[in-house]
Amino acid sequence: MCAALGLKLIELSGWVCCGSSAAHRADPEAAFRLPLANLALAEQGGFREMTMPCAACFNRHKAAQHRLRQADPPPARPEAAGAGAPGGAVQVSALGEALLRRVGAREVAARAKRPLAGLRAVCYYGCLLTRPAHVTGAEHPENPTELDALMRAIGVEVVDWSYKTACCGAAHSLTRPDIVLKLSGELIRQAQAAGADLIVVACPLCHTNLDARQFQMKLESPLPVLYFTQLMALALGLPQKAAALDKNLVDPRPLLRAKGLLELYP
Amino acid sequence: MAEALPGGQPPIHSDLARRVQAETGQNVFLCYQCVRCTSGCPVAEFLDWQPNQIMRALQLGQDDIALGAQTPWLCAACQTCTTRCPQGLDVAGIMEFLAREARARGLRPRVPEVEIFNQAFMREVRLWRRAYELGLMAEMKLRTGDLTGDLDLGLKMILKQKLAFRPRPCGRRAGPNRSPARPAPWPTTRAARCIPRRRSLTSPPGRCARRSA
Repeated sequence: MCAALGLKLIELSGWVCCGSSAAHRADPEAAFRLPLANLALAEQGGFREMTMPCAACFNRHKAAQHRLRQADPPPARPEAAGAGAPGGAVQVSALGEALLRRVGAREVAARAKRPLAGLRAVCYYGCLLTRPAHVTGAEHPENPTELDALMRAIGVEVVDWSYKTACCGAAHSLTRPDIVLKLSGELIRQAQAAGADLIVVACPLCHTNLDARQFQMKLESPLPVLYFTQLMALALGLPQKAAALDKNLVDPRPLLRAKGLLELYP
Repeated sequence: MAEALPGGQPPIHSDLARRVQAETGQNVFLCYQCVRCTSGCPVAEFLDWQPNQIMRALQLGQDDIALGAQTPWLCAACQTCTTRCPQGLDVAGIMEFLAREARARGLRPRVPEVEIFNQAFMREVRLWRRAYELGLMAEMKLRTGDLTGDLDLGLKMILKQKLAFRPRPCGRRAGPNRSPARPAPWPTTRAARCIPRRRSLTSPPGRCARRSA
């Protein structure tokens, strides 16, 4: 999808896990060093920007850079001996933000061969793309609009709702599923009450909580939850396989076919 | 360190508040109980003490409440309180610190699953340098004793090929950004050796068996 928009993504060789939601609770030093190792790798490789499809990865890398800026005096390089740069110079961006800045909504709209007209969606950002604002640099931490802009560009009707940045329960998915079911279930119900056909998300863990756990939520009717690139792949006219619609646990294909956005027999 | 109060009131113990300030840079005495943290807290209904009550307990030196509550463990780290605090306090960061401090003082975690998850996750990261969800889930199941919960969900995700069976350790390919071997970006601690010693599991990261090259 990114290639179709002229954005070439290169996987960072030797990347490590950012520590996610466990490291900063159990071991703050690791939570600082792990993302920093990636940033240093990127800087060494001559990259100026690092983008990631996960809100938590994005947040941890931003947090590490924030701590780097705060440190006074700057800390000794954690991966000293020859491993190079501190990694403060690499721009960290979430995928949606990178697309908007590097390609732009107008260009996306121009390249959308098959605009998804008639589809009503709510955009769900979750917690870590925007919060806390002094770390993520979000302009509007309580009302972000990046996904809205991308979705409008591909013809989706974006429905306003109050739960854009409410929490889905996140990493409690493995520890306290009861909490996740309550919070995520509420999100689905609120999206349905807002009159949306589907939820668009920008974080894989939010996606799992909202999509894969739906069968446990005792809902009257299921609501498809799509990662935003899935819809963009469709609108750009890429082969259906590129949209990976078969990977969702709540199958979005019946809805898309009903709206005439998907061939009956791919 | 107790500060005497006039009128024979019990003195305030601010040791823990000082620890918070030293470790997180947050001055809990700035809190004036506006309760925005609690109002926005998504997990408030599951907590025994609300975030603003924890802040008050810290101010008053009620360590038993601050360190003995489920609140720091159940905090979802959604950062809503930190974002909204009018005094700019990093409430979520204070919660994280309290959970760590409780462990450091030898208190049992009030929500053991969370501590098990954190330790198991970090172990995966130490072993593979990446997350390995299936291994993490298996360890959670064994250590919490909850063997049946969410099995249906796990099966659905495996059928959709959303869960990898094997860990995909961090292999270093020859490439434009290849760098000389680095020391591990974390301190190698005893916890990493809790798993039975087998060469392939305990060999240092970066020299993973499969994709050394």
